[in-house]
Amino acid sequence: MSRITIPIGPQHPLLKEPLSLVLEAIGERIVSASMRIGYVHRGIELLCQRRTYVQNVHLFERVCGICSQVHTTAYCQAVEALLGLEIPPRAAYIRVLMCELERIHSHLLWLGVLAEAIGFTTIFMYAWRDREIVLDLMEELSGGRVSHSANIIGGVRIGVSSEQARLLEGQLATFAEQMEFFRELLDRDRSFHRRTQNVGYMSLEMVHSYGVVGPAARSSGCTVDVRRAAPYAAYPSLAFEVISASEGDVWSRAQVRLMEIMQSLSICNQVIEALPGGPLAVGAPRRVPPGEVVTRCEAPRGELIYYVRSDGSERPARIKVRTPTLPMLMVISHLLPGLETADVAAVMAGADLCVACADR
Amino acid sequence: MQTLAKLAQVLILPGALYLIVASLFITWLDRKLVARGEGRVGPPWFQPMADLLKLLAKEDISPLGTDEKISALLPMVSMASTMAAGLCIPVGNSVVYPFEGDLIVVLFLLSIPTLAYFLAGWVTPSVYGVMGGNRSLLQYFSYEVPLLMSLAAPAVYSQTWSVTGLMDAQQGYRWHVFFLPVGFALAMVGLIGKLKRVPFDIPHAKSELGAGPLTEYSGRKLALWKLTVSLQTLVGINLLVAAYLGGADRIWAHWGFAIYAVKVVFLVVGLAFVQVSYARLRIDQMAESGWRVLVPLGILQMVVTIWMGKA
Amino acid sequence: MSRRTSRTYLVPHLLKNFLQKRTTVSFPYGPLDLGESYRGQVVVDIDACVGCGRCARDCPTGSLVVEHLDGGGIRILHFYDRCASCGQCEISCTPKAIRLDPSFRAAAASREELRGEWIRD
Repeated sequence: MSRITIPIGPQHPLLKEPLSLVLEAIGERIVSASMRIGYVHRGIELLCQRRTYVQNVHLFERVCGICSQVHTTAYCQAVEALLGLEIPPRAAYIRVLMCELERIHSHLLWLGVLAEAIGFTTIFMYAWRDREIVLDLMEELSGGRVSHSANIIGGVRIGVSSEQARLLEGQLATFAEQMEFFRELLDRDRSFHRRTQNVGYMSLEMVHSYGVVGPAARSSGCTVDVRRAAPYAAYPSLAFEVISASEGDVWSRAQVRLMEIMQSLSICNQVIEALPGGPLAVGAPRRVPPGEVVTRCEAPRGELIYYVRSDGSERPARIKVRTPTLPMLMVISHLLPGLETADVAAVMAGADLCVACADR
Repeated sequence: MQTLAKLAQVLILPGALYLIVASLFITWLDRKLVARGEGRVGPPWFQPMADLLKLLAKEDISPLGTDEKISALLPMVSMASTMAAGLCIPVGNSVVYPFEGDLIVVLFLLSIPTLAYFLAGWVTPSVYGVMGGNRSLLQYFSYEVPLLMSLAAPAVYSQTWSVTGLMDAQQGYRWHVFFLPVGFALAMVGLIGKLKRVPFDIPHAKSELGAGPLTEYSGRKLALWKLTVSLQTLVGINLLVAAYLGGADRIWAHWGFAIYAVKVVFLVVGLAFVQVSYARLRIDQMAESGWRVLVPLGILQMVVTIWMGKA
Repeated sequence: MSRRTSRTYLVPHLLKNFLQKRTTVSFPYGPLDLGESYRGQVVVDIDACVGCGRCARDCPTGSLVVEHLDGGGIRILHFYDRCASCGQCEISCTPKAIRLDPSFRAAAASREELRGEWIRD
């Protein structure tokens, strides 16, 4: 049988964002895979050096569309640490609320994309329709569906009024009922099982050697979640479970993400009930004293690391962002050989890649 | 005079014009039902016609390395053979060219588009085309045998190898679907495989291969291909309605078309329901299910049919 | 792993979709209602403005220009084609003279139409 080269090129119906994957296959079996990224590189780490700390909050929100809130949370935490500021408790809780709502919407988006990639368009439509509930909630709270502008250095910009809190509780309860459908889907749908079970197995050794993080790592046996390992914002006072599984295939990643949605719902409800009163933000000086800081947050895709170095002026000297998709991209080229061509779609969509995050 | 009447039948009703118009209608119906099942609004009634007209007006580009003559010939051959098959299958109470043995001819003519689909992928320089063509050939081998067996079963049962004869043999509501239910199920599955719909839309799996063999087609040739797919759907459903569901039932001369139309819509609803409920299979899973499940069921159906005839 | 698999979990949802209203909003053929908190276009209350220029200084895209006119007046220019609707101007403004309006129908045929200008003499 002959060897053919299949380009899952920069433009392909499978990919949400451009990325070049060149597969070599013999018949239908993949022999090797090589990847090239950088198509969405915007030079954000250089752009941020030319803007002030205040302006950079909005720049980092636009690194990625689906994890915008957690990027700004990490950045604001880093700058607040350099300034020696402590944000008010109300701000910490609201940051957690927005981060968890974003986690829910990101996982549902991913579920829809996975279903579309394996040909199950119905589930794609249903998942994205239920995602609208969460997006409308975020728009009600912050004024935007995916770019919220919720964080500022020193706290948050948005408040949660009591009508908004009632609305949140009601909509999240409706949403929780809809999630039961997806639980049944994962448990019962045989065609979904045939396409996602025992596909794209990633062992715990691979997770450790490539540094894979997030739900993908937790579905292969890892139990690290930054919200538990190095808690930030209001997480120390909230109760939630760290979900982990050990099967390591695409189905298991779907299972872990679905359970994380349920945990996020529980966290949101705790936040609404326990939301403390008080100011939304403290004043922050514009000049940041010299220093360097590393801060970590749990983005929907895994551990997000921000390194910020300041030289005493209004502009940062260097900011380095390590996004969780980078290790996943590195390990994908090693997961693919040995699979059938059709499984590439399931693995690529199931890996929850956010190439905009990875390229910055 | 008779020649003119026959020519009108071939070209207008129930020939070419009817086939094209009706196939556009059932394409719209299918898209609307699938959209409603998914929770969307769905296209308006004129959408398939608008798509066809738009494609006919677009520029026709082929990449360097395509065999131009063959790739231009293939959609025309597919459309012609599908419509020729449609001429032998009853529509309502009328049929253009029935003869004893036309079931075999119809099945042969309906396989030509599948082979043309494979060739369409083979002659393009695009990897997606070649891979899609390979997959479509493997899929053809997996579902064609069960489909042939499922259509041979009513022929053996009713002792006739003409499609019109099959319809006549089911008069008085003695539909084959009641006596040969397994055969009907196999025929539906085979039809879904032939039409390359979910869960068997593997050759043009959007998320893996772009559009498969048709990736590099554009303009008028693509319009003919899309029309061929619509025509295949209609002709295949006509065949199933005539062979298993009793066709027009020959009860009322003037209501024959309405009865046939109801059955066609019923089958379209069934196809749309399957499209909405399943994920796409992998090609090896499809081949496995074809030979491990469908072919034994087909053999079982044939054995039962022969036994029923003897008894 | 063997779990009892069944197709029937999906059928009630399919039927419900046929009978329920679509969730699709048919904008612009139908109304679209965004809440009051939606961040759309920038609107300036020029009488409340003190001309500090913080909005222009803190704007991430540089879409605001504050000019001091001879005679003590203020002129504020906003280039909506550069604006990201982030709301930083609203946060930075001390007298709360600048705010984001929920209007979202802003398509225009030329860049000049996308400019907002407020003058106080």
